Amino acid sequence: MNDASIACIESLRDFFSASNAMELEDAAVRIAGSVAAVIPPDTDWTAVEYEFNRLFVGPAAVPAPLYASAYCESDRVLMGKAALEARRLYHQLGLAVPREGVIPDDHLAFELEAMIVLKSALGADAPPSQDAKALHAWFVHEHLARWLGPFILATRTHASPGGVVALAADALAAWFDKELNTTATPLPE
Amino acid sequence: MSQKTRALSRRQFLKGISVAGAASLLPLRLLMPYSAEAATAFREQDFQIFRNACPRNCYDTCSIKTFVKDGVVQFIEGAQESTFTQGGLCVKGYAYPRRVYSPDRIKYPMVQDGRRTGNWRRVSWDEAMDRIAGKILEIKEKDGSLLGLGLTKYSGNFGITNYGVEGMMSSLGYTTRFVGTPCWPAGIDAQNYDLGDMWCNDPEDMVKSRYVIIWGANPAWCSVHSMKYVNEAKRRGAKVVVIDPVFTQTAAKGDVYWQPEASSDGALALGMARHVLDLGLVDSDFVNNHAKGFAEFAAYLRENVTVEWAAGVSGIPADQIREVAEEFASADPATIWIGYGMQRHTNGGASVRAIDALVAMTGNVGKEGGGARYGHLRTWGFNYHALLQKQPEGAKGFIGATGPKGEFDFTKGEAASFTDRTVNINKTAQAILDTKDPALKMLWVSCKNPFAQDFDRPKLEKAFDTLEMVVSVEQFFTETVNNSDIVLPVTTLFEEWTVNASYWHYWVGINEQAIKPMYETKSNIEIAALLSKKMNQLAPGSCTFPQDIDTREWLEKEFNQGIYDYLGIKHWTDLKNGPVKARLASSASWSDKKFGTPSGQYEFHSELCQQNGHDALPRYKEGRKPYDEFRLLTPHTKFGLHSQFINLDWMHEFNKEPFLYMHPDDAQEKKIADLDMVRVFNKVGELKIKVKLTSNVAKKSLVIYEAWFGQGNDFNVQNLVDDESADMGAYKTGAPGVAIHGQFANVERV
Repeated sequence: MNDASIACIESLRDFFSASNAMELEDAAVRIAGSVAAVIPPDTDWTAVEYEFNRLFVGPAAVPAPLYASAYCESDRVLMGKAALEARRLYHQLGLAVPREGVIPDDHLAFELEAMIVLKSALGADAPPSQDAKALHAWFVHEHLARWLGPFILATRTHASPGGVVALAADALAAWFDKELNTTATPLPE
Repeated sequence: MSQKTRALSRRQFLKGISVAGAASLLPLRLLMPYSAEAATAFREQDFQIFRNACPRNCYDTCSIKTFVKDGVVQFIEGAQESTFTQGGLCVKGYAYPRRVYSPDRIKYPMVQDGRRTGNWRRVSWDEAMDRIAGKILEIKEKDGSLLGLGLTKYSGNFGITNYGVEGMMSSLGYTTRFVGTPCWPAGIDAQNYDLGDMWCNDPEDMVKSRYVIIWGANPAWCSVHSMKYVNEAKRRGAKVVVIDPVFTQTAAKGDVYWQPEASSDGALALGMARHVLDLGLVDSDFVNNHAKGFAEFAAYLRENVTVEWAAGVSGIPADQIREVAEEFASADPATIWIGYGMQRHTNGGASVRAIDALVAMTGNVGKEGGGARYGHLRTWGFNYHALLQKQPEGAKGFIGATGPKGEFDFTKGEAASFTDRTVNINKTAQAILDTKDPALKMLWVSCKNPFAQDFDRPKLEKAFDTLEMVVSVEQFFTETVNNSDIVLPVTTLFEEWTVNASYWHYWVGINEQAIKPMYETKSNIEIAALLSKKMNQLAPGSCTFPQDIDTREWLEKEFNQGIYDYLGIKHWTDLKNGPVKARLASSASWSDKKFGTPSGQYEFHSELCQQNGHDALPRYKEGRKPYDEFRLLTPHTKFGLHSQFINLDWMHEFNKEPFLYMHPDDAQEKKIADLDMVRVFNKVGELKIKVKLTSNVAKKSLVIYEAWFGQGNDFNVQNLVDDESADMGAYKTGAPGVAIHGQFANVERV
């Protein structure tokens, strides 16, 4: 387990699950720290909150939904197969989304938290269990890889250039790129 | 990716692997420990099947079977038990799961920092209610009453428990209510004057008709399930005549199509009546024994009406009028389906009365397979528990009015010192601007999208800008939400318990909660309960609405023995087995010829109508005088129900953008080519739109289907429609209707 990597995922998780300007600021500052970026001190965090909601939350139609199903289904619809895959993964980890079915299981923040669990499992076991390795590899290659790319593209397309949301998207992209490149493809027995 | 991996099912791969326990030592924020036992209900192998009912403002009010797996609505279908729904839904109905699972759904309570800025912030329900309750209390303190608080609500969700929105308002005190309906009020009044109620035959008995006239309705789009009865009647030999200023898909199915001048329907019906009279085809038993005033009506026809005159007014050739009139009067039974479109005129009520008279004089009222079909509310005898809430002790209100009423108001008004203040829902903008002492300061919007449905949009925006707070309860972001300060996310039909009845057929179905309410959505009555809790926290005794709501219990409270007897069920839970049809003595309304009028007879001559400011007889009344070069018609679109559904991806597949439809000859004169961008404009406002040329539209007419929004589309026909009143509607619905089709405009290429 790499503490820096976990901290980066945690900050991304907290950013994409933020519900107000204060939470966004807290998470964004940690994201910036993890990627050696600088957030201008005069940043208007309320404006960041408006942008975050415009892109991801609503109430207007969102250009970059935070849910895997929006990108993995043939139609743009939530609670599809990707959500149930995520649910099953959490169950395998002995976890579940609170009040299962209320928030789609494939919300980015839940998935990032599941990634933290998986990476912790990999780091804690010596040597890591085959199950943990396989599950992690599946999650990276078969699940996240299917939607993070389009999600990051949608975010970058609609976010203010050089803004905090774009910074978070870049950090997510950088982290996942590394994760993808350092994770062997799943080859179960 | 290797071939081996690709071939592997993701689920198979996940099965059998467990890393449970890995999370036990981690400080997780979001995910919680998983217990297989707790989640069993959502992991059943088989589908759970739930009963739902379409709650929209639609003839068909479909009974739905919902298939749920893993706690997710997988698909829905029409209930087979209902012979009306017959296992099928319309495109809109099949799209319902896409409303629940659309990424664009409104998920959380949010506040907008400045209307139309798009600067939205999430707030907790508690904070939202704190702001709302605080404003209500501020108004009360400043004005000494809550008349500065207004409610506009209509047909976005006709589930009976949703009348809890009105109940919520009553539980706060006496408020200002937008009353009436933009939909069908002129016709409701007309049928009440003629027959004593709006009560139509069972639509399923149309198969018995030998002659069907569909007059100003387009069921091929707006009541798809009714078409099978029209088609079956036709298969059995009936002739089908369609009368509509637009050549619709329904018209395409007819044997005869008439494209009259819009608003000339009364003249056409009277011309036919005159010919029936001349031929001696009047049903003498009916007009002599069950009707009042036929002699006066006949005299009016003889003295004032000729077929040639009717042909001149309507544009339908006299020989065709004679032919159809004779066939109609000779067929037994014969029926006319009176659509809502034809009464949305300044003479709409008078026109409906003329058509009623034609049906009545031919003996087709009270007859199976006959009837002047408009609508009914016979299956709506619920308790209205959610609606009937008491004002708090000491609440002050409006003096001098009788309080609100509407077509769905089944309550018996009690004498009270105060009442709510009522204003005309069809003049929303003007009412907001004009209402004083006290002025409207706050507006609650639910089950309604005023910016798509209310008239004179430019004026509406100005009116909204005078309000200090606008709260919208919505599922999707509409122009109304854009003009709101607070939006509250409301549940879909799959997430709440309620019951639904139709205003057309006689089936009633329950609506079960099939899935958990997603995100932070709440039903209308749960929102009311939450507001009540907050009001009472801030000012004890300020709201009487119950503070803890179980939507299933509230559904149960809507039923009574009368409903059970009418439906032939012992308990509402019987409806879990499927929808039930009312036990009808006859498929015909008024089969016993005992009418609800003051005389107890069909009234060709209605003193009540006269007392209410109209002609006692169904005399011809001219429509609105043109005020611009073209008539403008803005009917319902095919894949939407007003502004609902229109934003969904499936609908965009079919209807990517709105168009203006105009006749090629008119276009040539205006130097407009197919698919040109044009500006349509009149005294109200303007809009820019692409044009499609078609002879389905009459010359000198412009047709634009209403209500498009979403995906960057800010098109709005209400930029061109003013709030001119229809002639009738105030008697039964509290406010006159509106002349939606009595509109005019001009067009030019841009």
